Amino acid sequence: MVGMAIVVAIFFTTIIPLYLYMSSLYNLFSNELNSRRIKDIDRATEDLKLLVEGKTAIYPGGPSIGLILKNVSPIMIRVERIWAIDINLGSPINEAPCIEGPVDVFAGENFTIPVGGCLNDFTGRVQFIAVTERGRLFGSAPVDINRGRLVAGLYPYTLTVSIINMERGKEYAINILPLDNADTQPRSIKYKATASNENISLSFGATAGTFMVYLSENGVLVAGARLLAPNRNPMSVTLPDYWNVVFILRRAEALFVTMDLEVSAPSSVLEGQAFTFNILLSLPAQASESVQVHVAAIMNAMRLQGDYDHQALSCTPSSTTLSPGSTIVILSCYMRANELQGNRGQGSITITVDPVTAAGTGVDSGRQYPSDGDSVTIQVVRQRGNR
Amino acid sequence: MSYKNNSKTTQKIYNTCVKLLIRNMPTPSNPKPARRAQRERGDTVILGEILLFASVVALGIALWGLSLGYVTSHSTSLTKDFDSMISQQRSFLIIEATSLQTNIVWVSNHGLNDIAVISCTIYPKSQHSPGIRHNIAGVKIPANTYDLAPLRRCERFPGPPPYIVEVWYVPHHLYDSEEPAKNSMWALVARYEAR
Repeated sequence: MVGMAIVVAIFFTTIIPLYLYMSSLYNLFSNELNSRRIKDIDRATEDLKLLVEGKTAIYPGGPSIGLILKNVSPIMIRVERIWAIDINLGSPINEAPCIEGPVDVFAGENFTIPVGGCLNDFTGRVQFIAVTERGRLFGSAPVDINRGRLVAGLYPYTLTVSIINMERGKEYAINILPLDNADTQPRSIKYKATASNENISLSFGATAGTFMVYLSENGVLVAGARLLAPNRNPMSVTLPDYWNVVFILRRAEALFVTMDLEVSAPSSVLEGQAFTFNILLSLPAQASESVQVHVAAIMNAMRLQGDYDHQALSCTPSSTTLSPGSTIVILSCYMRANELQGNRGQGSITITVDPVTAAGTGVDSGRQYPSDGDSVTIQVVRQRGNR
Repeated sequence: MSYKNNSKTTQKIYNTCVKLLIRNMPTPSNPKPARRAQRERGDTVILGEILLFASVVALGIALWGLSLGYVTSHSTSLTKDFDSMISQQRSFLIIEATSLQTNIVWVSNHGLNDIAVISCTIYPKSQHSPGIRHNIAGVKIPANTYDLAPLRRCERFPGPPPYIVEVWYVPHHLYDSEEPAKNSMWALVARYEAR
C-alpha cells in the first residue's frame, strides 16, 4: 500500500511535470517557428522595382539622376539603405552607402530619390541596390555614368501616341507638354498622311510624371467634334500608370465612284493581221480608297463580234490594284483578223465590254465599285495583193 | 539490487522474530511465564512491522529523489537545447555589400538576437565553400537593422569572378570564446554574390 502510494507520488511529481514542461517548451518553439514563417512570407512578398531616370540639361533644375522605387507588392516596404555599386570594381562607390535613413514606400506607390549626390564626377557602370527592413536586397539594371551624368537611358518610360483614321494629304503634329518635374524627348513630331484612314503610333522617351498631349491637323488643334476618342484635346496622361494616348479621328465617309473602263485598240487592221488591244480602267481621283479589280468579272463582260479568228484570241491580266486618280491596264489581249472572203472590200471587229456592277472592291471599306462599259469597232481592210 | 538486499534484511528480521517466538513458547506446567512470553511476542511483531514500513518508506524516498534528480537534470538540458533552437530561429544576418578592393563586407542584423560573427570568406563561385574558418573571433553585431557593421578581416581566396561572400554567425549568447570549435554547432550562414 505504501509502496503504491510512493509510486503514484513519483508519477505525479516527476513524470507529469516533466511532460508538461516539455510540452510548453515545444509550444514556445512552435510559436517561434510560426513567427519566423510569417516574417519569411512577408519578406518573400516584398517586390520593389528600381528604375534609374535622368533629367536632361534643358530641365530647369539642370541635369540630375533619380532612382525610382516602385513598390509593386501588396505591403509597405521600408528601404533602409541604398548602395551604388561600381560594377567594374565590385565595390560600393566611396566605400559607403549612397543613402542611409528609412524611406517608406507604400503599396503601389512610386518614390523618386535623387542619387546624383553619390555619383559626383564618377565615370563607370553603376548598379543601385536597395536594402529593406525585412532583409531583402533589390537591384536596378546597371547604368552607364559619365562624370556623374547618365550616358544613356535618360528616360525609363515610353509614352506612346497613336493617331487613327488620318486624312490623306494632311499634316498632323503631336506636341507634348511635361508638367512639374516630368521630362520627355522629343517634345514634338510632325507627320503627313499619305493615304486615307492611315494610322500611326509614335513613341517618346519620358520620365515619370504628367504630360499634356496635343494633336494638331494642318496646324490647327483638332476639335473634340472631330474626335471619336478621347473626347478632349489635349489629353492628360500620367506615367508610369498610363503610357499611351490614342486619338481616334472620325473616319471620312468613303466616296463611291464608277470606274472608267476604256478599250484601247487600233482603228483598222489588215486581214489576217495579228494585233493586240488593251482594256484600261481608271479610278477617279475623288475616290477615298484604293480598289482591287475583279479581272474575271470584266473578262466575262467582254463580247467580240466580227471578222476575227476565235482560235487565236488570248488575254493576259496585268495589274489588279487601282489607287485614286490612276489608270492601269487590267487586260492585255492578242487576236488575229480573219481573211476576208468573197468580194468584200472590208470587214470589222467589234469589241464591247458591258458595264459591270462589281468590277472591284474597296481596299478599306470592302464595298463593290462598278465600272462603265465601252465599245470599239476595228476595221479590217483587205490586203492589196489579195485582189 | 537494492530490492534484493532489502528482501534479505526483511528475511533476517523475520527469522529472528520466529526464533524469539519459539524460544518463548509457553509450557502447560508454567502458565505465568507463558503470558509474559505472549506479551513479548506481540512487541516483536510490532517491531517487525515498523522495520518493514521504515525500509519501504526509505526505499520510496530514495527512488523519488533519484527520479526528481533525473527530471531536473533532463529539464535543464531540454531548456538549453530549446533556447538554442529558438535563438537560431530569431537570428538573421544579411550581407548588404562587399568591396572586392579592400575585402570589406558590410552586414546588418535583421533578427531579434545580437549575433557573433565567427567566419567570413570570399571565394570564387567556381570553387567549393571553404566552410567555417573561425577567422573572426566573435564580432558582435547588435540586433538593430539600422546599424551597418563592416567586417574587415574577411579571408579572400584567389580565383576568377564572380565571388561568393560567406559569413557564418551564431546567436551571441551561445558564442563560446573558450572553445571556438563548439560554435559551429549552432552556426548559421549568410551568402552574397559579388561580381
